[in-house]
Amino acid sequence: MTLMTELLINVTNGLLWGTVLGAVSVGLTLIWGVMKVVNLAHGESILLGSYIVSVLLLFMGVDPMVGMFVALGSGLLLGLTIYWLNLHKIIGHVDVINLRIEMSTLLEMFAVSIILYNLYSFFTRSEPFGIGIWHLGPTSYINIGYMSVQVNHITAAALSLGATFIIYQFIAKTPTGKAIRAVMQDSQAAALVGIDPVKIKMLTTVISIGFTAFSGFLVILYESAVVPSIAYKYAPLAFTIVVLGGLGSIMGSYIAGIIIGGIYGVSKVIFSLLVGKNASDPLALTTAFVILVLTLLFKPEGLFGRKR
Amino acid sequence: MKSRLAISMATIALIIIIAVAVIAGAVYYFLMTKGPAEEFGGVIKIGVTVSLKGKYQREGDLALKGMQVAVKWVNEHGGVVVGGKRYNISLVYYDDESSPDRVPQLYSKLVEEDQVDILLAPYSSTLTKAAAPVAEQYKKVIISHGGASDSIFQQGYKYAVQVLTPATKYLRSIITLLKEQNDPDIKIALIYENTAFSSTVAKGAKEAIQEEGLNLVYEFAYEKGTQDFASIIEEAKAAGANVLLGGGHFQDGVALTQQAWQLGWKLKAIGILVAPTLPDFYETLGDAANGVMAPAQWEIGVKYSPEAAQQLGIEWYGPTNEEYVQMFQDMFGETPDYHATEATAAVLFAVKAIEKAGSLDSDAIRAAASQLDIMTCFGRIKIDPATGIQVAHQMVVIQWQNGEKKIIYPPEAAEANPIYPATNWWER
Repeated sequence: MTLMTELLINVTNGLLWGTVLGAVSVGLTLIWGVMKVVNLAHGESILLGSYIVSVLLLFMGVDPMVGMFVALGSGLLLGLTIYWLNLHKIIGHVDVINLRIEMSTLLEMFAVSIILYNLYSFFTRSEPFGIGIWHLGPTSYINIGYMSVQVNHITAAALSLGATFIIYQFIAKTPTGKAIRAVMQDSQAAALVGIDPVKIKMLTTVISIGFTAFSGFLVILYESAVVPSIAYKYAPLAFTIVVLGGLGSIMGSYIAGIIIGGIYGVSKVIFSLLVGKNASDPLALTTAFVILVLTLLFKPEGLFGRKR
Repeated sequence: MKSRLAISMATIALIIIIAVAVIAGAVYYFLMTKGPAEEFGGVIKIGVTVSLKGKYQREGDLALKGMQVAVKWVNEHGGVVVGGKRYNISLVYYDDESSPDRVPQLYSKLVEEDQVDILLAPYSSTLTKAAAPVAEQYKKVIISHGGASDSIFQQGYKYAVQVLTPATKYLRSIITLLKEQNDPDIKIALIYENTAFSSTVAKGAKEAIQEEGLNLVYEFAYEKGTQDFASIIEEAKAAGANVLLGGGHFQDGVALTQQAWQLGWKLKAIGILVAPTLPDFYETLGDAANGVMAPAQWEIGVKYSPEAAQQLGIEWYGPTNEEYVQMFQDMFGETPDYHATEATAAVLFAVKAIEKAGSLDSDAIRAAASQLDIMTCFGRIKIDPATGIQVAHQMVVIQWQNGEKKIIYPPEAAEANPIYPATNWWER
């Protein structure tokens, strides 16, 4: 295979994966950007959606295209539960989030993360759960000349674009969305003009976790099968992407996700030339975190974030 | 002078005759080993991930070595002939670090980037379950050599096939062997660990006991980590059981056997999973180990041979058992175990399926695989055409006899006769 083809294959793959990473990060940028809640249970929230889709398909024969709405719904419910159980007492009635409050929410979310992780491990016995042979349409992969691409990967990219577009429009155009942005910019001022910050904080948590669970469906489309430890693969990447894209910026996160995917593809080729194919994969993932360090050093507000 | 000339003429003639004979022999040998000269078609790529780090490091390393032996043997013996052209085979592999979250992407990579023609599954049922859906999406045949779980083959996968005995049949060989003893007084106690694997084995064992018309008088599933079996054993004794089947992992298998011995349970036969196949079993239990049987996918002394295959009327493929062990030792300086041999068998099965299909098309290979019924150094291999699950490969049964581990079943692999009833356990 020529270097050119190898590059093409890896970049195509990287960009397709990038759309999934982008969607996975959108939920995090909302909850982190608006409420300063460092959602350490992000990976587990993703997995909720993956498992719902997989279990519905395997045990009840529910088509994943229907299952994804159940995943979204259960994510919204999880968001509601997390808000009232873990977050409301800490952030519900405060206007300025200081470091002490941020640390408390971080610990709360850490607890949620551990609880969910262990529940998943217990119920799945850490065995892979997947969507097996399911795919949209008559064929499971298509040939695009230099490589074959799974239809599921294309489906994931298309759904990720569509869903992100919808949530972007929601935040940008609807009154609720505007209220969310108002609280993000200045919670006290928002309250002065009649926005109920508690309602907005609850809504943001619910939307954020709901969208994250939905993105879990994209993850399972991309990975074919998931295990609990996949949370530790996606959550750190999502944090990097949110920082790169700029805290609270939906478009920023989505584009940053695609950028990270692309960089992953390119660096895989570079590393496979340098250290051989076998070792290239983990090193290419490391690149993403090098980018995190560089972003924090030189452009801490992120590519699309506001200067503070 | 004349006679000296005659002698030297005769000598020259003799030398010429010998030289001609040697050259003719060499040419003949060359032609025979090369076979009819097919045009060289290239390389067929077999893709796989192996666990070189993490939990399955040891098993993964052995599996990889087993595959490498098979690849070397196949290439040294003319490769694969597909469509009139001769191909060599090569192995493309990545390290999956024993982690199911790395497997799907690596298998995508094997198909997309390396464009492999056929896949082998990783070691263990868990990793196989992570790889099979990817193979299915890309419509590549994937051969399981280390995934014994039946459930892999109950999910409707079209391209997954298995060369090793599935979990539900682990105890079947021992049960068949019991049946063959024609003993009217067999009362079985089934005592097994309550884990996914052992429960599946027990489920299959119960079906086999019923099919063979044997008598199951006691059943108990103990929790993982159980070390005290006294009350369970007393219950089983009270139920009149005289055959013990079950176990789970090493520790509990040893504890169960030891306590059955110490509590004076008179048994005609003892069949325990996993533990007795390891040398530590005898070292720990001494005389109590004698008579104990265990199922194994493969053991180093098995007597599968081209002659045994001929008797069954099926084809033999691959190195003979001695040849295989020798090659393995020459290449890696250690002896193979079943993790290695089942991987070897997977490569041999892949090659045979491709050859029979006469094409590299996945559907053709899968269809050809359904029709194969071959014997290798790993034993007989034949899959169920619909599900791909293994139906012909039998677990070999080992029994400790006077401190030595002997293969006693099936007859085509056995090196010793079974001792039944186990004298030291029954007549004490």
